[in-house]
Amino acid sequence: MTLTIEVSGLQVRYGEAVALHDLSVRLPGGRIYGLLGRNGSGKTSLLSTLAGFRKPSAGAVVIDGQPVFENPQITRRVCLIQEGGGVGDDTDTVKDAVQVAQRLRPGWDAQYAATLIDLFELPLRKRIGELSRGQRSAFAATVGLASRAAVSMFDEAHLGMDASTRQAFQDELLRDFIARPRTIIISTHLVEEQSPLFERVLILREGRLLLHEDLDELRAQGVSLTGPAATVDDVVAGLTVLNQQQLGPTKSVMVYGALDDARRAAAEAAGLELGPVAVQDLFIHLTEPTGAAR
Amino acid sequence: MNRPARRWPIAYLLLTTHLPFLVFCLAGLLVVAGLVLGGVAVFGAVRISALDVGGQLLRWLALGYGYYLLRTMLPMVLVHGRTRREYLCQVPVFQLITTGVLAGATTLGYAAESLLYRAAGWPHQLAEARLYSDTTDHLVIFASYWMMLLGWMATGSFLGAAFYRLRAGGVLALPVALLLLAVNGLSNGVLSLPFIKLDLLPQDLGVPAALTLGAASTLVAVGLCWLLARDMPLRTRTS
Amino acid sequence: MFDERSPIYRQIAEQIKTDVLRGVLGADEQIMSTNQYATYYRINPATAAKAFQQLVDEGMLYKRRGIGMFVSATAQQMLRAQRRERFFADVVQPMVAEAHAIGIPVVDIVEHIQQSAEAKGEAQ
Repeated sequence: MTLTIEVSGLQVRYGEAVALHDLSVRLPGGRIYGLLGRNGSGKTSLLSTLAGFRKPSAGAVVIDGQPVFENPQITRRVCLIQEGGGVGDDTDTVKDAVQVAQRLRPGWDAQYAATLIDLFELPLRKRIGELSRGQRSAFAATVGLASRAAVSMFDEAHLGMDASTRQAFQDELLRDFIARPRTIIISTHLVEEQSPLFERVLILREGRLLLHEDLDELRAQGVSLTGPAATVDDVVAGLTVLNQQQLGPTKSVMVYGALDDARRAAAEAAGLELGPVAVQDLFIHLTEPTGAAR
Repeated sequence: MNRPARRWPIAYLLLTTHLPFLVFCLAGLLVVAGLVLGGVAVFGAVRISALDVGGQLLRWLALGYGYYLLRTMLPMVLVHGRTRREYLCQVPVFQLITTGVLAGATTLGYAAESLLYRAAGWPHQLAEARLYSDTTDHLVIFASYWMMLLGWMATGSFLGAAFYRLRAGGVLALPVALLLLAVNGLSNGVLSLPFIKLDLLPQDLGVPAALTLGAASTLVAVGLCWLLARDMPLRTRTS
Repeated sequence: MFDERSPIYRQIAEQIKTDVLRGVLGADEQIMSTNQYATYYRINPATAAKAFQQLVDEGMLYKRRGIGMFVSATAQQMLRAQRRERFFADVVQPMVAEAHAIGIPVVDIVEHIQQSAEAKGEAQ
């Protein structure tokens, strides 16, 4: 069974500082979502509230029709793994920490946990505090996957993993998602590497939801136009310009949104060079702070 | 899983894994007390109960462990899908049982020590004025230790919650904790902290009144801990 | 694996079409399932499903309920027809424009093409 997440008017404040402003979004279950945004854009605040780690300062976070915070019916079906773990006591061995997880988490899959520990080559007898950063992340990922929670969230859980461990984690995540559809949210900066896993992406900027779209739609969203400066400026007038660069008389402009037929025809007639924009570039320019030159 | 494991998973987990550890710590303490006793017996005259001196260290164990329960265990339990309410309801149950077991084991220690002292011909006296009148006042020894350990563990948890939630602001909780421990001290004699020694003369108060005050201070500690922890946000990198 | 600039589902659809065109995938041959495709290429299964749906809509694939997706009998023919239609616009015209820009006479191009064709034994 998959659970739908509904966030309405969510605000998260830390004293005077506002991390999330009036955020509303509906996330139907059974999909993999990518949560993107720069550091400080509110990703961790959002995920923490979704997991019931933090009470909303205002607004509501509802999963399967019920508020999340301090609701045992929901929290046991939700799992958030954060960078650096926090999934076990540093003085416990890996084996003991797995025992603790098994006894606390209803739905824990002990066999799957054992498989993952083998896969990530984690030393069962070593204490959590003695693991390397990569091993800690791999152990946290193990807990996140073996918890088999209907809503599984990973907040930069890949940090510290080397490339091959990261790959193994992603493959396992995808395999398990296919075998047991559920809601997965992954927050990451590795847009190029991880975005193929996502069905939809959410981008946060300065505590607000900038966009929520199908990944494949986003891939089709950017267009770059290159040609004589004046001509380029004419064609892109009125469009959302993400970035522009000028080299001598030639100007290159990145716009957000597909070109309509009239503009495309005008651009082609004027001999402009049209090209697509990489998701990573779209992401970088979309999430630029509002104060920066646009 | 059996029934208590399903209904009280947190208390059950702690009772089956942490209680044995704490009993192990107590056993270690007894061994150390025994060694010191041996040393004193060789180089001087034994006059007072070694356990009555060493047993006082137990409260520090209780305080530190209570702190750990909130500072380290609570966040971990939340990560595994449990709620603060579940934890804060089950932990006092665990604390009540655990401190009872530790107090019981200590009382047995006093009884065993009496036999040893009698065999060796040493006088078995208390180290300081206590709520219990002598080393054979077993019922009061048990009650006094239970109340002491429970109060100190609950106060430790209160401090754990304060330092987790308020970070450095947790120092504000220290005077409150000190007051709670002073009141609790009535149930076991004197409050002796490093640099502080209050002579509270519990005998003048009477056993029922001292235990009632101890229980009250424990309840206040549990209540304060609840207030701090019931909606405590988990610490995260704020990004 | 995938070019980061265009929708993945379109790239998958193109790959499958190329395989059909070259005969790697024959008529009525079963193709990988959405999930196999997703696992193999490390992409979201919904993305793979979208590519397959597009090919079904175009008549390149057909579904057999409970079994899977198959290449339709006419797929290769349709693709050849489509590519033929686009050949002059997509391949020849840009070549002629490029030749014009760098000063290669059309006669030279024709001659070169004839030589290549003879080498392949297809001269008429």
